[in-house]
Amino acid sequence: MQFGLMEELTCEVAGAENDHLLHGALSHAARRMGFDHFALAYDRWSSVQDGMLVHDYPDEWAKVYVGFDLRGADPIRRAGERSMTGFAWRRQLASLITLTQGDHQMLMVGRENGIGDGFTVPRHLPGEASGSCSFVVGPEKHLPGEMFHVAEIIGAFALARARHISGVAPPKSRPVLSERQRECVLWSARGKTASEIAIILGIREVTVIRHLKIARERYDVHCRQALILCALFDGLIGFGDIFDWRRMN
Amino acid sequence: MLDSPTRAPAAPEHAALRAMFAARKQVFIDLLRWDLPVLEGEYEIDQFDNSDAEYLILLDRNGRHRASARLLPTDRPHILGDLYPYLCDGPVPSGPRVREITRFCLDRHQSAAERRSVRDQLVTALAEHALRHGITDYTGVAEFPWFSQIMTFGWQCAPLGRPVRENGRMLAGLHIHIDDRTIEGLKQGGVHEPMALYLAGTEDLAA
Repeated sequence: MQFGLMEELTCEVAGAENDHLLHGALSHAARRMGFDHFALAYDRWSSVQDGMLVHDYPDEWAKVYVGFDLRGADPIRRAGERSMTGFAWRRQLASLITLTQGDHQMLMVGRENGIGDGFTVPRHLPGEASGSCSFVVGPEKHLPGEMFHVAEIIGAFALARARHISGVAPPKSRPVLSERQRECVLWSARGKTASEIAIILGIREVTVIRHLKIARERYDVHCRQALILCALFDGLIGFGDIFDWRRMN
Repeated sequence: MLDSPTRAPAAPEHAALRAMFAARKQVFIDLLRWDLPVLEGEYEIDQFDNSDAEYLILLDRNGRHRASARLLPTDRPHILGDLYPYLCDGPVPSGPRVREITRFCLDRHQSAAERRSVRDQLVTALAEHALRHGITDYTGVAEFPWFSQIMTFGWQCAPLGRPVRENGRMLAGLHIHIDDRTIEGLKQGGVHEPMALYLAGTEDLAA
């Protein structure tokens, strides 16, 4: 286990005072570990402007990615949401998410622009932010598997640093929902309509509609899907609450 | 669905605790050379071993200590909050559902393979204990390379700030979030291991 190298690179990354220095530290770390490029993306959930993106991916790929706004469709990002620790793309992507035709195309375009295979370290802070730090190699090369453990640690500290540089989220008061409102949101997440929820809970449909409206206002969102996402991210309802119920029914 | 852990059969009230304090002396003082006081030449006990502390102790069928951990409440004096707050970039995570994991101890008298298995059983027990008792977060101060292991177990674990060099050691503050994805994460991380030993918890040892 390469402790000396891990300690040295971790200190450099974890000590970066701003995004420019973090870029330098990660670029250095990537090369020392045997990778070709890195990319770190950190998204503050409450405010898109407070996110951070530092990378040294080939310019051509960056232009395509940003120009076509591929972030929303990025399979690596989706896989990062499913995994709690680092994963290697070629070896593990398909076991984390269902890859669509579009995903394969995006990965192919990436390869054409210098991104062959990668190892991504995801980290999630419930209710606050999520981010990932990826280390990649060019198309003709293999990932340095013996460095995955080191990359995991460096990625984790890099994301903690990004969080600090972006500004730790002020302790904002979470939206407070009544138990009834929470129940309506949960049944909505389980796929029930307002009239079905009314029957289930034994209340009037207009009451359900009002509960859901108040819930949307408290989270400052405008549609059902966004409300469900907010509630999940906030921990108001859990994946288990939704999917276990679906499985049993 | 969590199976209830096998309880230590009628172990004398304080024997498990004594075994744990003795093992802690052997690991933290003799082996790791931490600067801690020794009691009666045999036990490692500090000011946080008070009535607020909870313990998870793994014993073999002869009642011998194999691994243990101490959990401290975070809304009272604890190690991260009181001794190492500078390891956190932001406020020290604390609250009624947050516990600090301290003195994570693997007994020296076992092979490397046994130690690894016991480590995984204790990590699994910590996750299950949290789920059973509504604990949503664990924090802790860990030395490198221990923290490099913890961060790859497969649970949601992130550093709280930058690592700091002290007395030749590198320390970091960690935050572990426990929810309904944790057990699956530990399985994917290859660390989930069902209990094969006896688990003695503080509730069994309450006078």
